[in-house]
Amino acid sequence: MFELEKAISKWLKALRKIPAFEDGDIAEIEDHIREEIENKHTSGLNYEQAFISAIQSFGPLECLGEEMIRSRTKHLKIPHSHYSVPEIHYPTNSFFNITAMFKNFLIISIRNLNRNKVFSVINIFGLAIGMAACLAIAQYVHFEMSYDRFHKNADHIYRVLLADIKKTHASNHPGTGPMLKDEFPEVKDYARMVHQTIFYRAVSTWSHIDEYDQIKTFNIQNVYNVDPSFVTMFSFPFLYGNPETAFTDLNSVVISRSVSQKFFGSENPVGKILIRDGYRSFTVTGVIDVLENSHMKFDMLLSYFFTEAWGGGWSHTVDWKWPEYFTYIQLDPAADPKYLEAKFQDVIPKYLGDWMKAINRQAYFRLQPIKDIHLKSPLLNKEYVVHGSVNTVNFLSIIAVIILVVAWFNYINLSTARSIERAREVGFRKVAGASKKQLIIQFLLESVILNIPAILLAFIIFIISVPWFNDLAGLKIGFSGLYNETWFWISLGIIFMLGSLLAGIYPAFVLSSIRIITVIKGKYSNSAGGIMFRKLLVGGQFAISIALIAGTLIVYRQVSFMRNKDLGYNKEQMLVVKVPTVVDSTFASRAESFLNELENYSGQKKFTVASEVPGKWIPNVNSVKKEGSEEIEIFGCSYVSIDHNFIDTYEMKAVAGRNFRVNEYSKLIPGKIIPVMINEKAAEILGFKNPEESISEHILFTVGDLEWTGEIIGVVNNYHQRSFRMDYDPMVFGYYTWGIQYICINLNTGNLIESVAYIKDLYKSSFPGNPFEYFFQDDYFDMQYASDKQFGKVFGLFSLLAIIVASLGLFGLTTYIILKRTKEIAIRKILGASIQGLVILFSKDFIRLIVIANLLALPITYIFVNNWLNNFKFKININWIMFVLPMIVLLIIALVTTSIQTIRSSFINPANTLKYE
Amino acid sequence: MIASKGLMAATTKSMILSILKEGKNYGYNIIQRVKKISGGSLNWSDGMLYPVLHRLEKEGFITSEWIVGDLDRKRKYYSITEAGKAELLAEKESWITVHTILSQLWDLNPLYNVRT
Repeated sequence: MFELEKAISKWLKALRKIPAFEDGDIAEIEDHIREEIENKHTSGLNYEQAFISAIQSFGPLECLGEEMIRSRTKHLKIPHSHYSVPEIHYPTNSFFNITAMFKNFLIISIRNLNRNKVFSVINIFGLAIGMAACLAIAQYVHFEMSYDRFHKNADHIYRVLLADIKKTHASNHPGTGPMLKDEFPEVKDYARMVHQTIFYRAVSTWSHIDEYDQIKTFNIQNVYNVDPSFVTMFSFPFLYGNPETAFTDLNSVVISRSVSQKFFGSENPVGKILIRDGYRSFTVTGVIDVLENSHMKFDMLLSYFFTEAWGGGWSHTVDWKWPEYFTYIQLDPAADPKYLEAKFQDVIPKYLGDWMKAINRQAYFRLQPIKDIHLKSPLLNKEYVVHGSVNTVNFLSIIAVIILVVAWFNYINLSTARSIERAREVGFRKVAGASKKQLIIQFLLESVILNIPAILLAFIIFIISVPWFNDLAGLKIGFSGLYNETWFWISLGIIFMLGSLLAGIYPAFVLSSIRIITVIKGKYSNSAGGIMFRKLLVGGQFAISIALIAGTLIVYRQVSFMRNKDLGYNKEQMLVVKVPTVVDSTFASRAESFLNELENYSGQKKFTVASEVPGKWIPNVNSVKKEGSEEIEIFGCSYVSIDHNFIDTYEMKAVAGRNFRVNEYSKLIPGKIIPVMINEKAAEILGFKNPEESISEHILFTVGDLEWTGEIIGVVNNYHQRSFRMDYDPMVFGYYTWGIQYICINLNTGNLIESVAYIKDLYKSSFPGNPFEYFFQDDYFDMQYASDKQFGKVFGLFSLLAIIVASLGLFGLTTYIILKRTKEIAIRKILGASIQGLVILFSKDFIRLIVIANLLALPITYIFVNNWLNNFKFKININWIMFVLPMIVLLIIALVTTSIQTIRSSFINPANTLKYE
Repeated sequence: MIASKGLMAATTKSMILSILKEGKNYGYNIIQRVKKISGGSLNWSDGMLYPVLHRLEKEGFITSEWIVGDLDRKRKYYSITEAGKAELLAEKESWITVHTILSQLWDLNPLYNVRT
């Protein structure tokens, strides 16, 4: 039966489908139709006839729609032949539509993150670790690069290096600075800096007596003599005092903030008196902040022209004979340093002719920009401070990037692997009219949204761990100012943007390229290319992990090798006490009674006195040659003053000849041939075929500008004076030739604390007014490897992080793959597959990948590791275990991961998995 | 007689404006007026009126308002604007000109009827 209302609403529904009609139009038309129907009905038609007649006279809807659109748009041309849905121009630049679109993207993204919690957590956590590691390393790198840039003239200050064919020295002759300023107008100023040990002693004792007659005494090591221009040419901040007048008086001393704190607390010390070694007074004229990022580290600065050795005056006889002076020059901004270096060659023979003749080598001056000193001073001779290494900076930067890349790989892997799940969504969006561009934007946005919590978490991890990290890496970086630094926020932004876009772009393209037709037909699956790409990424992660594990292993082995290798001397239970420096007329008798008391102390096996101990660089280097030889055989030879007990105390041996006898002094007296011992290395360089051959031979060696003759009485075995990075140093030993600085005691007791306490009491009562300073030889030795150990730790930490992130990714991927194959597992189980069989089946792919990754990673790792090991003169041999072990570790990780997943999945009753679909 | 499609389209504007000059009116009634006057010689399909009404409104010749009438039915009423009146005048002149020319050509005037 005909129902009018139904018929009308059906007709109106058809009308509504035509986009041309707006709600108002439809209401108007409905009114029209109803009235027409009523009129027709009144004139005798039934409702059905009236309805049909009314809609017939209303005319075809399609034509009407066309006219309607034309009435609204003036210029729109619509073909008359048939009606087509007009192209609807959404106002894409409209703010509201874009917000609506992004709102929708946001909702979808958040839902996706929420739905796949495991993937989200793995991604966010991995990214956060990578980002935090990057930030930590970024602040380290930034700090290392900031060295010496705080000087106002940093761009124009250079250090003048002294080079010959064999070596380049960080220090230069005292005459170099003044000469360059005289000869070259481009040289605006110069400043020399020389350690007190060259004139005086390595450590001096300083005291201050306050107004209450309280005395404070400290041993200070880094005391330098500098030109007055030092404080004006460089821009060290003066906390107190005036740089212009700091050195107008010869008895001035400028102290560092830390020394000032030790003596004077927070008071202004300018004008106060400090007494050196009990008899020489200096007036404090300034307090300097020795910034952490300065390559020069000093505690005190004295005037260059105050030199004890010359009785207050300066002897120009050594101007060109004593290359121990760090020389800095400031150039005119317009000067070209390369051109200047070449011009130096014209004047060098005039000043260094004699010296070049003596060493039989051409000398050169090189200009090293001050900004390069910290990171680019590769193995310069006579360098006083251990500088940073550009290799370490580069290396850590690479590791930071690697961790981040591994985290990005995780994101790419996991999101493309999930494309099957997303295919339907993409299909629907495309049907609804989403363009490829919009889809790419959506997936990129998803990546951005994932990166937001990641970067927040990274920031938190960074803040919590950075003090700890800096401690581990041995960095003294002021952390508080970090947030004021533009670079910090810029790097944060870069990491975020790169992470979001770089890692997001591939999945965005893959996902947006899904074809609707394959989705609808249910045939969508991952493309072979996509699977291959994912395998490549996972393989890359494996390769990185293998390289890092192998690297960590080798660094660890090398560090422990250095700590445990036979050094050629005994370092265990060796107590080293610094000799008193504050002395008076009673010192000789006091020293004798101290040594006698020590002799009688049962806690010691043997003791000795010496100018140097193993484990440090010896600055007293002299040229040595055989008597009658034309050429200097040893250019830099360490000279150590010892006594007859030195060799026995340190448990070394005389491999040829004999040891010193009691009171067989080697004092430098003109005309006297002094008895000396040398080590095996010196004998070798001097050209003796074996140590025995050198016995009773004469050698000539220089001290300052004087030459002395020594007779070799014995040869000491080679021992590691310095770190394993260095070769054995050639050494000459004399009996009490000069400056004894250490009393070295080989203890035989198990109770070290008691022994130290006993010796301290003895020292204090024998040498009042002197601080008791001591260390243990093994700690001192270990200090040399502090930077290597730190490197090992930092390297290990970041390797571990990279491996964790990669393992997370592996875990995510296996979880996903096995989830997709749950049904397959069920069917295989029904057909009788064993769990072991399933584990093998699913691990096979990963095992193959690991083996291939191993083959790829090993040659690269070998090159890197070998390169690092080449820093060491004494190093471990690389063997195959170090390369197989990482693979085994990785295989275990992969096997455990897949096994857990497979076993868990295979315990599910096959009926449960198979009953769906 | 049934007018051609082109002619109908050309006359619609004038007719609607003329009807609305009599007073405000709504779509259905406008159609009925046209049908009644023409005695069915102008065969519009009813629906075609509405696009024309919309266009006239857009051009500013007429305005519309919704008025709730009997039985609470909303109905859209149109009325002519001043611009519409001016337009109607112009249309009228055009049509009279055309009419005069055609009348003379076709000797409808008795003064020229001598030859027949």
